[in-house]
Amino acid sequence: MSSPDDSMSAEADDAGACRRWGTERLAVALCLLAAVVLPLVFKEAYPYTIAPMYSFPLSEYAVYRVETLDGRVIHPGRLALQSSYYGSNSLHLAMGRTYPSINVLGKPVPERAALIAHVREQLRQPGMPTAVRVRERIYGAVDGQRAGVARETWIRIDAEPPR
Amino acid sequence: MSRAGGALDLDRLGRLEPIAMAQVALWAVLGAALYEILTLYDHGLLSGDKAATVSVLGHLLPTAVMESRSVYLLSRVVFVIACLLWAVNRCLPWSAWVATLAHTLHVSIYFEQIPYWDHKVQLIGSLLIPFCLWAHFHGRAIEQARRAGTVWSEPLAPRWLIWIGTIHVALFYGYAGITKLIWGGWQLFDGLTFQLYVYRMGRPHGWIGQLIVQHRWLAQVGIICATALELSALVALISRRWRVICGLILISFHVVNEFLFVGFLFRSNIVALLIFFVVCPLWQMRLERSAAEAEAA
Repeated sequence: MSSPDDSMSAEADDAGACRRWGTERLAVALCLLAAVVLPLVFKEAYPYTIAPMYSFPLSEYAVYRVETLDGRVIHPGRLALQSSYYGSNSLHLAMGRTYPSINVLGKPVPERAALIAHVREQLRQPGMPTAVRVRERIYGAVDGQRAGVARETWIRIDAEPPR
Repeated sequence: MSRAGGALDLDRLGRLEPIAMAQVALWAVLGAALYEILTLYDHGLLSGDKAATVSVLGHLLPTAVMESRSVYLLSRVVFVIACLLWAVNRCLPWSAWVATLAHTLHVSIYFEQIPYWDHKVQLIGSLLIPFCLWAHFHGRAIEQARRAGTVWSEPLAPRWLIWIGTIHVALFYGYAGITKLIWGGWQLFDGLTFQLYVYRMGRPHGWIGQLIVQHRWLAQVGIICATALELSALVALISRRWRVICGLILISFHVVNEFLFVGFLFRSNIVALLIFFVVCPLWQMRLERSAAEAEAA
């Protein structure tokens, strides 16, 4: 037979368990709420994410190769021509770090005039050659079924426009 | 949604069960987190400057912490030690808290400094949090049971643990599908986008890549199926059977992605899918079947 002391201690245990489950329930609810709401509010707030892999439509994109007139290859990043994608976070989302580029995947390929003006601007920086040859390779629809290199052109660009 | 098709019953979610399934899930999550943190490679691009804030800790901690290379390296070492202690149920709940915070801090610093982004660590990173809560609320009981040698027989794992882990996995894929619908729109499903992604980040000259870039209709079918599959992860929450099927298809989807894209195997996601969408539902179904048979007998 249980004594009054036993039943009081059992009641105290029950009350403690109830309180603990109440706190635990709150913590679980907050954890769930964070997983649902934080991606919607911040989009990227590690460890929460809206997981936007491959969500931006593309119709074409450009890849540039830059060479000096004597054939030395220059990394396109030095002229801010690198293809910027950042793992699907290029357009609407913040990135830890971004480097300037006019060639962002998902945005329209730069117009020829804008490309020339941009490279010319870059060539005016110290240590840059006075002229470069830029290969612009555009990937897009080749025909109704295939995708691949849609067009490719080489352009010579001088730091100073020809007079 | 505490069980397939059942109503949400909070008290039922708080009920304790034997630890085996939760312990296996914990080991899988910790193993994947350890793998991810040890293979997180910054290509020498960790700049030492915090740029945009893209992590929860980035919103809470001072910039000096998020820019510190010492904190970055130290958090990796601390995670490894705490993770091992947590895996063998030692120093609970502190080992769990330290491991979770160290992992989150390490990856947060990484993402706030590098000039690229991927989504391979996020799911496992978010799964550490419910397991940490389990250790917080039940860690002392687990330690006591371990000392008494009854850890495998005592009910120590709350039902909400697997339930909330499953929701995290479903949300990750569900959001991926919804984002495609909202940001991609119809143009995303014309097939050309998928073909160009294969060219830009994949292996267009591999045999699967060749099929995709040569046949737009196939690319179209591929992207539509992938999006439908991601969205179906949310539907899978209401049915254990569908969850198993959906989990197996999503794992196959990740494996095919490895053939298509360079370094895109979401290894820790595969572990999460295997545990929460395949092993746990099958385990739960088997337990219920055994209980029903015992009752009938």
